[in-house]
Amino acid sequence: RSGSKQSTNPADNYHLARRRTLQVVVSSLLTEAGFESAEKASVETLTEMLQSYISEIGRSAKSYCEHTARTQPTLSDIVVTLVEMGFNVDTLPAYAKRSQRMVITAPPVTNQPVTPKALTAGQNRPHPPHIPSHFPEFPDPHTYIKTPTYREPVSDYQVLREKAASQRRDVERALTRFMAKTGETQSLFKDDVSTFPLIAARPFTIPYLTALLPSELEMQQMEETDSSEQDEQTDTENLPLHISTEESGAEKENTSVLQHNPSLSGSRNGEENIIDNPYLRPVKKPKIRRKK
Amino acid sequence: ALPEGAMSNGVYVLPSAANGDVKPVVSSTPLVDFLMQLEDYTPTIPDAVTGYYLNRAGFEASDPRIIRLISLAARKFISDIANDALQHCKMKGTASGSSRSKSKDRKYTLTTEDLTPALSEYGINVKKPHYFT
Repeated sequence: RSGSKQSTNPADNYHLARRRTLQVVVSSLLTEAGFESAEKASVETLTEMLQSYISEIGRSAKSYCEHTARTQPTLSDIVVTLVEMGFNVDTLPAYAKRSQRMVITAPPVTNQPVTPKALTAGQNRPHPPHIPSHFPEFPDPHTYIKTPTYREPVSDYQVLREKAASQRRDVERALTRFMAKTGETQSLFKDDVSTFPLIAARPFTIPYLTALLPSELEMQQMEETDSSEQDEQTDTENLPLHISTEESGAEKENTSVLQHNPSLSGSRNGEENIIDNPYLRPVKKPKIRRKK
Repeated sequence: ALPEGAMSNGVYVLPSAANGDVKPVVSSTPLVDFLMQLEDYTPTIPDAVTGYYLNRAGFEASDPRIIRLISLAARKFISDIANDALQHCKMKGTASGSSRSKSKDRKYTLTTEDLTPALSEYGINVKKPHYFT
């Protein structure tokens, strides 16, 4: 206990403060007895004796008290203890009256660190009954309770329409730019090619072909009059005509319409890319057979 | 548990005390009255310090007067030893025949040499080395 370089935790400080108080008490007693000064070793000796004397009284009194099946020590326990330790109890009142001089202040008691009001948030949970009250309190509830918060999705009609419209416009724009970047482009401005690319229109070799060929409806009506062996052929011919154009800009529709006719002339391109939507297939009219 | 301060005058009377001239063998606890006087008495050792050491020994003090009684008893214990040491010091001082004019009463220093015989009368033997190797 003499090491001053040891790390002092609060428990040690607690202990040392009281020991220092005992030393002060011993010094005052010696002064009262008439000594001017004292050796440090002897003061230490007397302090140690005083501390062990008090502890011994406490322990012995407790033992006597428990010996009689009690828990709270009373006066008689202490008297018996003092008698056992060789202390003349009768002289105690006389001694008390004689010396009533010096009073030493108790060592200061530091309060527990209290978190300021500004830092506490919410109510601490109270102690459950099995925990004694002198135990520290529960921490703030925000340290162990997690409440996930969701922002309510916006359900305003106007905002939603606006959002949908802008999203659609962004998608169209992105897609057309992608087509322009990967395919052939024509430009409006002579010297500035990259700012406003247009998807190149594919010119037909024979532009007047669409005017000469019969339309689909006429084709169908023509084929209905034929014999039934050609039914399969017409069905498979009609399928490539329907390339689904769900997400398309105006340019894309042009290209898809343009693609209709080359395939109608006999070439079938890209059957594997066709999305076969049953609601977009051509209406199958019942075959009217005319008796030949 | 025996309630505090409500002790009866427990005089143990021998069976042959009918004639009345036999003194009681065991008197009641002598300090009951004294305990009442301790209400506003503050001994030198603060209550907190004594209570701290008593708690370390397992003694839970229900009555603060008991704490003061114990602190008083301990104080008397130490002061008795100190007085004995003073006697020893004085005896050593005047035994060598120094003149009375220069009385050694002014400066008494408690040394281990004075303390050791004083303590040995109580059965406590202290041996302090004069030097540390």
